Amino acid sequence: MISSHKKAIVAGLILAAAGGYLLYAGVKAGKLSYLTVEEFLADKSFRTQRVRLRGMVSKEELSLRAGSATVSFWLVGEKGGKLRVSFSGTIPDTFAADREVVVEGTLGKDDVFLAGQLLTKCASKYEGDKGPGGRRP
Amino acid sequence: MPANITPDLVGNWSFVLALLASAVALAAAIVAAVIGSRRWLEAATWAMHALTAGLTVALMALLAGFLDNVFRIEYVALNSTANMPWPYKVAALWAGQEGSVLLWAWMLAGMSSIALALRGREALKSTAATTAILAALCVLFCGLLLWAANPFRITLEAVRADRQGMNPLLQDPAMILHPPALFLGYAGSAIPFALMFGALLAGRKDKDWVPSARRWAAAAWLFLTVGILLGAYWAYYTLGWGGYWAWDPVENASLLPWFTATGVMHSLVMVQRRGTLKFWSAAMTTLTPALCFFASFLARSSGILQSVHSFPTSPIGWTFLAMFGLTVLYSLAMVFWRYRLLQGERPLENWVSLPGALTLANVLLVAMMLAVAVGTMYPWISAPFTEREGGVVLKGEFYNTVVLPMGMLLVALMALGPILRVTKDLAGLARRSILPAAAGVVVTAAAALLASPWNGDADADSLRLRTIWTLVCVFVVAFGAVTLFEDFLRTLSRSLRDATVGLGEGLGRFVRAHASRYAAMSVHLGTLLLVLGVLGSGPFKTHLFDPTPGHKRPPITLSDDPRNLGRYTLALTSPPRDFEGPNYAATEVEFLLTGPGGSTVTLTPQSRLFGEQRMGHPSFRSTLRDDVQVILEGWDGEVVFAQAIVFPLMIWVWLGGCVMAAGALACVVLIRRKSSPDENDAPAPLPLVPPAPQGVQ
Repeated sequence: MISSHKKAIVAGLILAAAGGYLLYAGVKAGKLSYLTVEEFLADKSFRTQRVRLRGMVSKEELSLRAGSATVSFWLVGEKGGKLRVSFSGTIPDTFAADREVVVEGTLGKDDVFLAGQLLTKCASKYEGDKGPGGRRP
Repeated sequence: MPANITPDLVGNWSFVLALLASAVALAAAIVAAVIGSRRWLEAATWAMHALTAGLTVALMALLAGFLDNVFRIEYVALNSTANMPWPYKVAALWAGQEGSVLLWAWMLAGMSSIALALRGREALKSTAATTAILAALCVLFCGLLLWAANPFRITLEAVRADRQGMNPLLQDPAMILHPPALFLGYAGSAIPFALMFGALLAGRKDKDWVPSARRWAAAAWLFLTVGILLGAYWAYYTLGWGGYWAWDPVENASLLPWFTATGVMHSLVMVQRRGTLKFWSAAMTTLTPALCFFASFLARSSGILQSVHSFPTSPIGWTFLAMFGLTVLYSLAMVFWRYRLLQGERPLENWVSLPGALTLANVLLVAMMLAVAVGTMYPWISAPFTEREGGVVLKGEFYNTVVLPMGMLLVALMALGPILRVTKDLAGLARRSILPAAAGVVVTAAAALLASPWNGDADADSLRLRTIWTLVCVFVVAFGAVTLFEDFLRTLSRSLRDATVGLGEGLGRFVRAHASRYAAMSVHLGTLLLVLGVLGSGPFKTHLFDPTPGHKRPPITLSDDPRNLGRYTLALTSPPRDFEGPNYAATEVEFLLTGPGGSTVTLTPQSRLFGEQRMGHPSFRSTLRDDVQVILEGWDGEVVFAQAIVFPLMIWVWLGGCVMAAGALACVVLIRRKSSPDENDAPAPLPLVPPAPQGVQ
């Protein structure tokens, strides 16, 4: 007869193994490289992967009129790297030039990054960054 | 009020008073605990009430600052405008960092005062220790308010003319209530922690503190649940990005304490009734407030998280991390010191039992919390290995793969709960599972037939997998619903059968003996309804146009034929038209949604412009079967760009949430000081005061 203590240990090991497998499968299914524009441009292996990029929206060649459902813009990295991004869909309410954005997608034809998701850092609560000169922008 | 008594003056002096009062309360409570003096305890209690009064005055002063447009207060200037409607001026109190810390501190002080006022004449040392813990937390908050997050700072700059006040996205009823509900949950979670560790610190062996801790745990859970659901409701109805939960880091942060708060509610039941799961209870009651601090750290330290909410880095975040560390360290020290008091009175002899299921449920809740924490922190964890600052992020697929199976296992345990109350072996479990399992098979088969129109956007293989997984979940939900109702009917019929006088006496006896248990069961029923809603609305939503990247939306014109949208058709019936709202300019279009029976509904999605900020305003049609959401994405003359989504069973998410909240509220009211014999976990009579009282009892 196996003692209840041993049964509990066996059950615990099975649960831990199941949890470990779930973690492994989850990371495999959900992992996504999170890159700056420069990191994306420097490593060609990322060009065939779905990735998440962060950068600023450049004013240059940004045409965002009222009612627009498609937007193309230059995503500019901290070190000046530039990538053309195209997005169709619900443009976030806070999207604008000089805003920091996060885009998720893959590189398409003509080196245009096709974004399926466009997230803006929302001007939400808990503003701590006072911006240039110590004041909030 | 004299002109020289300004809100900032009143507010700052109130903070000084509150800090002094909390320090006095801490010192007096420590003295009361050391020398065992009830007079010192009374002094500590009055100091806590003075602290609450001080923070109430500060809150009122800030409110006066908003209502009177005192823009020399920087916080008011940044979060309000003169023409903002007054309800949003009230909500602006907690729309920024400093105000939200004040709200949290005020709620913590107020709840502490209420808890101390309701305590009666319980064990002196334990109450003094509880008071000291609460006072110590309040000292930290008051210090934070005075020196790091003071909402009464004066701005010397001229007020900018182009200020837009509170973000229009936040000017929504659900968003007004979401932060206070969450902060009530955060503040309330400190009370069970203080009660349990106060009892431990005093070396208390009785269990009289447990019902009070359970009530506060239920209250904290209620507010956390309502806060999270309001956030999801806001995301769904206001943002219109096509969902209500995105596994966003800030959403995840609020979920972490919810897992452990759920664990607290269940493990304290076992502490009260069987004297077991004391270690678990100690861990869960510590982790809940600690994770509230941790969540605040995550939300305020965007160097770690990359979120759609992402708040810029703030030094206050690190203060919350320090509070997390202090809470955990104190708890660990107490657990080592009072190790013997935490030993269970009875070992767990049989896993096929309610205590066994509750133990497993606690393990699952902790595992889910850890999985969400790891997923949320993964960019930070993985950064050193990738040699990139951003590291690797984990998308929703990670959480769906890891957390959802564990969640369904938890629901399965919940479904077995009513059976495990009355059986203690596998044979009995199998025998009593026959009826619910049969009902589950029938419901699952019916769901498979009825759900065929809900193919969603998935390809055939993915749809098959989703369908199989969903049907398994439907079986579990149906099984759980039947076990709940079977248990309810069996208990009701037994009460009526045993009644000697009549129906009235039987019903009265049923309510008196079982109300608290069925309040908890109604939370479970709400959970089942919510799970049903998630099962339909998550994997089977159908888009009008392919949402994958690179697929441009085709234009929609008035002359187009109606387009198919699941079991509906959708046609544009009016071109874009502009109109002026109360504080915005809007563009609106009109769609006609036609159902399978020919019934029609007009949907009018809008795009609103607040100053320079544009904000979508989707249009909805909700039924018990599904929701249709239409989002106006753009327009060009009479050509419209839009997306529409069908969410099967969506409304059950909100209905389930309401039932959960109502059940939790009933638990707060009905949890009793003593368990009735019927509330015990098995029909066999169990001694209410078991032998070998080595533990916290």
